[in-house]
Amino acid sequence: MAEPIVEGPALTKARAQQRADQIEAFTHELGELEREGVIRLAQDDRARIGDYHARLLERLAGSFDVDRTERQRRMSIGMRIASLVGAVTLSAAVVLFFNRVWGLLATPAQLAVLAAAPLVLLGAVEMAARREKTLYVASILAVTATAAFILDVSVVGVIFNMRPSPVAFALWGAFALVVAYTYGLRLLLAGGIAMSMLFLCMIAARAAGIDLGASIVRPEPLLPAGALAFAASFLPANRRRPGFPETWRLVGSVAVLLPLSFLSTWSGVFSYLPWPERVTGSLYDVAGFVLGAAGIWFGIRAGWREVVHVATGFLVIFVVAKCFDWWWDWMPRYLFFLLLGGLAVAVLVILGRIRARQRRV
Amino acid sequence: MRRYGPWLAAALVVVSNLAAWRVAALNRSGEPEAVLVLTERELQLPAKQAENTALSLRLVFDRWRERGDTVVREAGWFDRAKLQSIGFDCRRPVTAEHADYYRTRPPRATYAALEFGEGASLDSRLSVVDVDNDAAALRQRHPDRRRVAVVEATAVIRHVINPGQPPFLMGRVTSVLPPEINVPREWRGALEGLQSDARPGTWPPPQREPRFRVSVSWGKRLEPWITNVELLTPEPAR
Repeated sequence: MAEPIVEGPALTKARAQQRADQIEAFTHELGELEREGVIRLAQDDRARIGDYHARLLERLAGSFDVDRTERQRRMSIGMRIASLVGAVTLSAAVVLFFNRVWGLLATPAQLAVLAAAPLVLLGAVEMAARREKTLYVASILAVTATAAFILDVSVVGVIFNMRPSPVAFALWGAFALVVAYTYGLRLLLAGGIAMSMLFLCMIAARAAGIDLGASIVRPEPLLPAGALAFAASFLPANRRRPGFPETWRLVGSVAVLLPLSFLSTWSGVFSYLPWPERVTGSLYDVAGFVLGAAGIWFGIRAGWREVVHVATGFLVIFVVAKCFDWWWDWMPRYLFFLLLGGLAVAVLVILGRIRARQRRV
Repeated sequence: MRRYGPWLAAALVVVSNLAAWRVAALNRSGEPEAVLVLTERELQLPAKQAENTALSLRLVFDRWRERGDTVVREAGWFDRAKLQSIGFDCRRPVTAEHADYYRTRPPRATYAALEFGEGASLDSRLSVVDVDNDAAALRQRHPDRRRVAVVEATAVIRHVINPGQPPFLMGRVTSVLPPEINVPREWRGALEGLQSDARPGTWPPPQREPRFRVSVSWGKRLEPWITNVELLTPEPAR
């Protein structure tokens, strides 16, 4: 009998889970077909398939810790939520503990503890990753190590009364990205990209002479940064890590689309561009509609679910905001809401047609 | 990445800390950029915090401006020309029609000359007397390093409309950076006994005779540090 093949350069945890789901669906459907009398497998064929699948699932579970049943899947979701809560609370515990004791320490001891905390936690991440395939504990410790590094850089700044600097965000982003790539952690990847983008906003604000605290109210640097993040999802280093291309695309789409809502409605407040507000606002109006629609279109064609979700959510909010911006002041309220309802029906009709066309294909 | 990633992350931690210590040492090397002797009027002591054992003193300046009932009738030295010199675009007419435009300008980063003046009242004697985007030019205009500290600051634009007066523009420094100065452990004990248990219920907090004096130096990077703390004996009641 053929031995189940589970190792291979292309096999990832996601693919292994997909295979396990396929086996479960196949077993159910085969049972249904037999009950309805469509097919009847010979006893030894059925036993051979069952045996092969059992051994394959055993190996997939051993190598990738895949979920074999619906119950296991639900448990996994619970474990992911628990690890997120654990990461947040453990990080809060580290920060609050340091707040509680640092006044009792002399400056050299404070500096030593601050630098040692992320290093010790990094060591713990490495130990946990070696012992546990699922990386639940390692991911909690990795987020806590990042929080400890953020605390380290912030408190060293407080101890020496340093002026705020964008470099801190670059350091935090770099740390989160290095840890994310080392252990394949998507939450830290998203955090690392977000901090790097904030760094770019601060650099642009500093160049324009704007106070660092107000840098986020000038979100234009996020547009090219989001486009670059989107492009980065195609890099080989990301494509061979499960969930990384999706994370890059998700953060990239949010970074491009979210600022457009603010830039199109209040361009005079949020934009760096020196042109008249009407020109800048119209430019971002067009960009919002075109990029939102393009996100949905390309997302559906390429099978990028995360992009479709972000672009759809954005376009709904954007259309409502624009309708409010254009018509609220001069249109009777009943007509305004009637128009919004009509737009919603029109969207339903368009999406229904696209769906029907896809079914035919 | 799996093999050298942990080492790379650890190297990032070590290098960031060494760089921060080096920058702090550089700030404090040589002659200080400015040295001011301040009291509790200028350095606000916070109330005790159960969850935080550290102690920082908040720099208080231009205290009279913090009161809500103060009506400003003129821009003073921080006028439209000065605002423009630090990068605010004030080309639009100063009319009620453009109030929204001026109200939504983001705060700007600049340098401020923080002067320690005379005063018999219990208000802070620190006030911002000048701003400039060039710290060296600011120091040249205010050369007294025992009276004026040049600090990084955040400035905002105000479009002021008073009844019976044409609208005008004025600038204001809303914060200096860093806004607080950390008290090292050797002086914390002296100040801890003076901390109140609860935060004051009003802002600005009630004024009192200063109970301590602090020497503050600003270094090459315009970052301050405490060089001495001295408790003051209360004056007999007048």
